[in-house]
Amino acid sequence: MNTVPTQGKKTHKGSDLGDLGALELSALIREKEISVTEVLDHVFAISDKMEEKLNCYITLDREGAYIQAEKVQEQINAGNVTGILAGVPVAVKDNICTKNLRTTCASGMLEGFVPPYDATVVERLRRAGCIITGKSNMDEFGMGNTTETSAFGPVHNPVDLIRSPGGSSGGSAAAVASGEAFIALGSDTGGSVRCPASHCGVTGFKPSYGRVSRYGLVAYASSMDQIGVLAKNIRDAQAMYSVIAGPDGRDACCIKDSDPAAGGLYTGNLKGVRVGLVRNLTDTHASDDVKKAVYEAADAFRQTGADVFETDMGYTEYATAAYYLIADAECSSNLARFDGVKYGYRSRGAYKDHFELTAMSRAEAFGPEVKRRIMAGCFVLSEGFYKDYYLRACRVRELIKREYCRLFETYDILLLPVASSPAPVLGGSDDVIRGYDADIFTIGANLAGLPAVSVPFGYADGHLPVGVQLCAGYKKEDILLKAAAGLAPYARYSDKQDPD
Amino acid sequence: MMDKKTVGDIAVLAALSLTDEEKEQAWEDMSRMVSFFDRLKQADVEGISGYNSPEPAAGREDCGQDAESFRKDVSVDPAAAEEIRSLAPQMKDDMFIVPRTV
Repeated sequence: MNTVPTQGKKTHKGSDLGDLGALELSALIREKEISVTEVLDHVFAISDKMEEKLNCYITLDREGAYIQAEKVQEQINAGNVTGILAGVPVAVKDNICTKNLRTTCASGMLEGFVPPYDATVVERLRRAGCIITGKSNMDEFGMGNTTETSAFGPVHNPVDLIRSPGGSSGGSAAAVASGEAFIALGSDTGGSVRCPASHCGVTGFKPSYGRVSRYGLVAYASSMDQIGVLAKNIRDAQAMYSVIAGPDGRDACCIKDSDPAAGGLYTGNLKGVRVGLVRNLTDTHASDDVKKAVYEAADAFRQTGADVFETDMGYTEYATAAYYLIADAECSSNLARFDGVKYGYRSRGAYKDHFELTAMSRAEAFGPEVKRRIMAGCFVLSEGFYKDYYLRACRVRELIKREYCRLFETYDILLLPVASSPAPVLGGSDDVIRGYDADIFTIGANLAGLPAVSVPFGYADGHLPVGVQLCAGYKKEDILLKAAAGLAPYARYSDKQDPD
Repeated sequence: MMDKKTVGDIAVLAALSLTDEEKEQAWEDMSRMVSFFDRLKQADVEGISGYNSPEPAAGREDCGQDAESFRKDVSVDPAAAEEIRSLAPQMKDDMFIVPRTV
């Protein structure tokens, strides 16, 4: 095992920066205890040492970060930037557009793409005085759960370098876990924030569908895509959520009302909160280590005063098939825009007409998994198959959504695993299709548009992080984050920054 | 049932140029994926409408998604045209270059 040291630069008062959460760091910056530039020196020193091994970033933007740092420092000194995350270095997943900073989606198709605009979340980060350190590595267009489909090579898990950090936001999770960033943005279409959070021992928060604008997020499966946060602890995750959430006229699916949970973290005991441990999923699909973490989390909830029950969820046998079918259908439509003409990769081969130009450009630039999903999506949407496949999957999705509604009539929180086992060894499986079922715990929240969080809670084999997942009803981020904050201090994987 | 002709047709729909070897692999992959999707045939969906929009589930606004309005149809400052043009792999006289079509 080869792990990453996160110790390093100290503040004037002697705190080790590596021990600080994003909120604490920003407070020190605003108190002039440490400068933004000094903080960047710290994170880039870790990158100098570790990036070659970890491959967290597709584009590390040192020059841009130092320019941002100078401006933000001036604004802080002038009292114009006072936000709770001012000065904090943030890694942004490479499918979120950043003006004048390359955004590749980890694909050969967009290897040289430099967006002419910022995503809404990036605008909000900049306004809050956050410093973008670079664009984090991921599975190509978010399609994968190990980062092995990245055209830029896989990310290595900082906890154990032979292992995957999980995906698709694996670069963001590894950057936070290694100290290459203090917090990160990811995106979660079927678990892509929660899965890597679990494997890297960090907190991963996916808000309800529509809480965070997707404007500027390169679309994969539009009815499920949602930007989320990877953080060192729940308080940091909530703080970043407060920066990026809220209505946006440029995303028609963005929820119009603001979320009270974005205003501050609800803490305190969980007396009267009803937690439903999803027994059938946990018992039949999770490894012993994961099961142990989930049942220990149930015990911890009891200690907080919550009422814990065991329950079963229906329709789980159909969930992964419905998810992949719908996601593939949407991806085949969304990725049709890449035609080798307007932007992105263009074949230099001998094409004889417009169609061949497009077909050759796409064949040369997309990786195997993206092609597989586009083809599957075209199949299920094609005449003769649409009704039996796509439409049927939509109807199953409705059944699954109703099942969540039924459970949330009884419970405030559902407790279940994030992944069936701890971080897999890179290159350990070349059977991608068989791997689809590994997403069974996370996809439900995406199919039903619900908020969910991965809380680091235990270890497997003594050193591999295991997260547990909490899921709440639609737009119930307040109770979700309160429950996560109440649970975190009981973790064997210590969440030092949390209150209580 | 997935046959090799269907795979060829799907590759055209997907606008992907595949070699014979790639078509063979695609046929294997597609056959497995379709068999994975076929699990859904066991689900009883009688009387269930397809959920495919951000509209709330009927009578269940507490757990549906907000019906959202569109923004007003007013012009805004788009990204500069020159910046957008600069992203194109091949341009000439402010036009995208494509193979001859007529």
